[in-house]
Amino acid sequence: MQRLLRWFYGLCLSGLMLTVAVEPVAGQQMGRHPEEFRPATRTFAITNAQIVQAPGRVIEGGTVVIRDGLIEAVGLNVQPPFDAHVIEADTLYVYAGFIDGLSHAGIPRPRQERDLERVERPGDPPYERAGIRPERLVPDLLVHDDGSIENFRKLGFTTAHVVPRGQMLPGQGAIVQLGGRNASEMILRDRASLFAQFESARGVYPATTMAIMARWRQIYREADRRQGIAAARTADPAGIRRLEHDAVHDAFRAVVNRELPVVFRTETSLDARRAIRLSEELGFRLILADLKESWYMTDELRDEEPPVFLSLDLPEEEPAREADTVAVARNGDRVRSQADLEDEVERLEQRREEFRRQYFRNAAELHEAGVRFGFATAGTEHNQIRRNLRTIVEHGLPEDAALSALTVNAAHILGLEGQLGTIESGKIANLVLTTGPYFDEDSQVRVVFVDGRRFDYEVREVSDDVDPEAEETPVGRWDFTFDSPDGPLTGTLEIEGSPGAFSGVLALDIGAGDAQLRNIVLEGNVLSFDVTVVVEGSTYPTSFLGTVSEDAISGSATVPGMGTFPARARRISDPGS
Amino acid sequence: MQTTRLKRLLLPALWMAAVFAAVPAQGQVPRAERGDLLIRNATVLTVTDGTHENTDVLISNGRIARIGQGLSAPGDVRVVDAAGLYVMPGIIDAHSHIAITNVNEATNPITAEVQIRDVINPFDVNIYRALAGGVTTIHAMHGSANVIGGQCQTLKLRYGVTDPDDMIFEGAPRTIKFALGENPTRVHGRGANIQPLSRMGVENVIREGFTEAQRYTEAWERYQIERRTDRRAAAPAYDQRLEVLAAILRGDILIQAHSYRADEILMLMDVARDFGIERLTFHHGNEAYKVAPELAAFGAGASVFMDWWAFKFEVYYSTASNSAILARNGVRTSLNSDSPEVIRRLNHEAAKTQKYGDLTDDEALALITINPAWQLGIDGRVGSIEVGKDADLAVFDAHPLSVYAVPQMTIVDGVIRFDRETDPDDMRLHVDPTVEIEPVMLWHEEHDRCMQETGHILELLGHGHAH
Repeated sequence: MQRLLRWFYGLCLSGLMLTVAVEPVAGQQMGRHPEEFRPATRTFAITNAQIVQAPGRVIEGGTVVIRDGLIEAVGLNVQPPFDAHVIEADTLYVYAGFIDGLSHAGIPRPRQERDLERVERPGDPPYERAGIRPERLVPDLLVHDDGSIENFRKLGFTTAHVVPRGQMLPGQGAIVQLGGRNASEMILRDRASLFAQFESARGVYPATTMAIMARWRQIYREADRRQGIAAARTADPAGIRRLEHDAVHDAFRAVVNRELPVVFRTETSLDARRAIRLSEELGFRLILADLKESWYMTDELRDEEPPVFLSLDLPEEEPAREADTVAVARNGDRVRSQADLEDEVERLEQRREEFRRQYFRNAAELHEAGVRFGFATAGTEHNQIRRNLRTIVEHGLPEDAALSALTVNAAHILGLEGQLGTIESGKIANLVLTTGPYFDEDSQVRVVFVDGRRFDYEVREVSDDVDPEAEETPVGRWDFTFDSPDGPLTGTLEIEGSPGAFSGVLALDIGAGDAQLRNIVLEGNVLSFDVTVVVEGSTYPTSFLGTVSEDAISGSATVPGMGTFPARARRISDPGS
Repeated sequence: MQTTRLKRLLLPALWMAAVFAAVPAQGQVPRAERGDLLIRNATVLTVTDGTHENTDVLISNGRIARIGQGLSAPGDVRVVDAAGLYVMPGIIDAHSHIAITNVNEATNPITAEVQIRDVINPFDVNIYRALAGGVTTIHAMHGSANVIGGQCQTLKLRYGVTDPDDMIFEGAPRTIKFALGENPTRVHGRGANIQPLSRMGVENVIREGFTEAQRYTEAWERYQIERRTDRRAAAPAYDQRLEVLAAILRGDILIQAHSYRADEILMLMDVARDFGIERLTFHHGNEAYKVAPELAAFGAGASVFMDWWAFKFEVYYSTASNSAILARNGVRTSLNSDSPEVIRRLNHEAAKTQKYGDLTDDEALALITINPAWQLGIDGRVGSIEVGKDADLAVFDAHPLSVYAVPQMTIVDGVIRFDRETDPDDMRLHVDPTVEIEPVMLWHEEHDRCMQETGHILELLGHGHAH
């Protein structure tokens, strides 16, 4: 109980907020679900805003006009058109939507890893078992309403280079707009890249990194040979035996032709250098993504060839340790007896801290070397991204450089600079409206436009919501809905007792039985509790936090390791009964 | 006898030097730092040219420039006063698995196409530990799970570089791992129920592989001829594995064969003769002493353990005199570690040959210097202290064959990479901040590194762990 209260106040102090997605205004006006109707207008005017047109280029009190998914006008003296829905932004900041260099948004995780089937010859497994699927395409895999898309959009990402999940060669990447009624609407560019990583196939060839390297050379060179024969047959098929159909080698043709860049996921410098070696040996176009250790190879990256998307994943901060007191004293000290052990542990911790800071400073150092780069999130939990961006800025990356990485640089690397990355007339209306400068801890995303489609995020400070005088009660039966990443989970919530002695259960409709609520606390009108839910045999410890107002509770549920998702409840019994 | 022996040692060295001269110079220039240094008043153990007391060694741009007395160097060159110290050629370990992130691609009886070069790990702290034992060059090898495993890589221990390519012994010949006997029959035969299940199967895998490579070469040669007259001729399928096997047959890649028993050693020499392969080095070879004259007649090398055996059935018939018997029968012999621990004291492994075989000092030191250099085809560059050779040196406070000898300094390309004077506890180049520090000693059993990464495949196939 005490612990939970501390946690709760900690949330208030750290300014964590409840973010609740609300339906677009146009839809609300009609009183129907927005997806069922065309919006009344596709013209918007955002007035009196701080418009960050491009990093370092700010129009104070300017107006942006959006029409039919494109930016029509931007500037100080722009008049809102008569048919525009006007958003009086006043204190809001407007940024170009962020572009994610490597993402799995909209590509659901496989439910569980399939049992590894035994193969006749482990040295020669079928392509699928080996993780070699370069012919797979994002439009066939993208789930348009997957919760991950909302998670990233809510952070300000409007476009992502989305790649399939898998092992060595999971498939081809696509440029995806993070919002749309179906997958087709969201695809900005299909076949945008060939995605590769050093993920081996377990127990079969290629089971190691060195075999992945070898497999790459083999596939590439054979694809090159097939290309030559195919070209000769195209010119004149007579007398040349046709090649057996092979989707893998055929998919590589665009790589061999240098039409398709290879986006290689390489977190370590060793992996990044391996990808560079393959590219130099074989001659394909390369983009490095999710790199965390570029400081080891600044010289190789200086000419921005290959271009780089740095990972937004960082080591966990150690709160107890003050970073600026670190002075690593390594020389001369020796552990000679058990008595020195504490000193030794302290020295090891100092070196650990030295390297933690090195990871934090990675982006800043690459920037200081004059290299432009983007960011990638494939290896990062979405709920770590804003905190990590702040950490990166605190460790020396100028805010404008961070914004460039999120917008213009990413657009440039992906060849999208003509249509995305800045707020200029004619570009795609991907915008982010925030309550303050994006990298400020307190500022919040209020509205996101994707292709001129509006997504509102109602933002309230929890601390503002706490009304100690409120006379709300959670007691009663409630219809409960939790927007899990795999779709909504519904159930019945029952709470009884009195403040300080509440008890309750949550029964999900999918029939896992009653789960006891723990640590139920009502602070004014703010309700929190913990509950462990069981879904399809998997156990999820969940923390709920929300506000009670008469017959409704709205808030969010946090599942460690998965993220925070909207949750709400509607009273189905009489108050207090 | 000494002079004939010297000639025997020197002739191949001269021959290799000539070969190296033909290699484009570009491939031999180290990308990493090269240093200048003057070592004064040392006892210099040249290995190939006897021992010189009170002698100076002048190092210029990473090479040994002069050996003599009263040498001087430009003012800014560091001078090491080595009075009372012993300088020997940097130790060479012909069989190691440190400094790499993969060992075995254990999924197929032949994986000739995989390369250790692709998985060099310059951050491995074992490199520094090996330097602290006087080692300057290692042969980083693929494991022994497969009959024909991956291509190996000769490395210089330039600890401190972070680019794997800076570790590469530039210009060293290509080498490849073969493995005979129990390991491949256990992994593939008993593990996956495919050939080889027996030593006969091992031989057949090699013969079939080479035969297929011959067919492959013929097909490409036919295509090259056809193409001269028919521009539309279709190229045969590309096969990287067969490309490598064909390169072995051409003599471009030196075979390094994991082996224990005399019969399998004879078998591989027969296969080599049948396919025109002239150079072989047998690793481990616990029973090699039984066929020492045959090995000498073939011109094969042997890289053996000093006194490690009985860890499985095929290594029961062993003797600590193996290396001495081989050396005295004219087999180019080296002692290897196959271990990140033994690599730190290869000088003591060499010293044991004086107890178990009465080898001379130079014969004993040759087992860890010029002989492994010859086996790896780098004896024109390293393995002895000679003018023109790479300045790869180990400095000891006593004769390195003494049990009291402690390494003081290890020099690679004229750069001091280990110095006992400045040797802090924590020499890691990279620290993973996500790994918690445990204030306890984490003990783990050391397995046969040769079989690293075979565990998962055996488990997958329903077998126990590989030891």
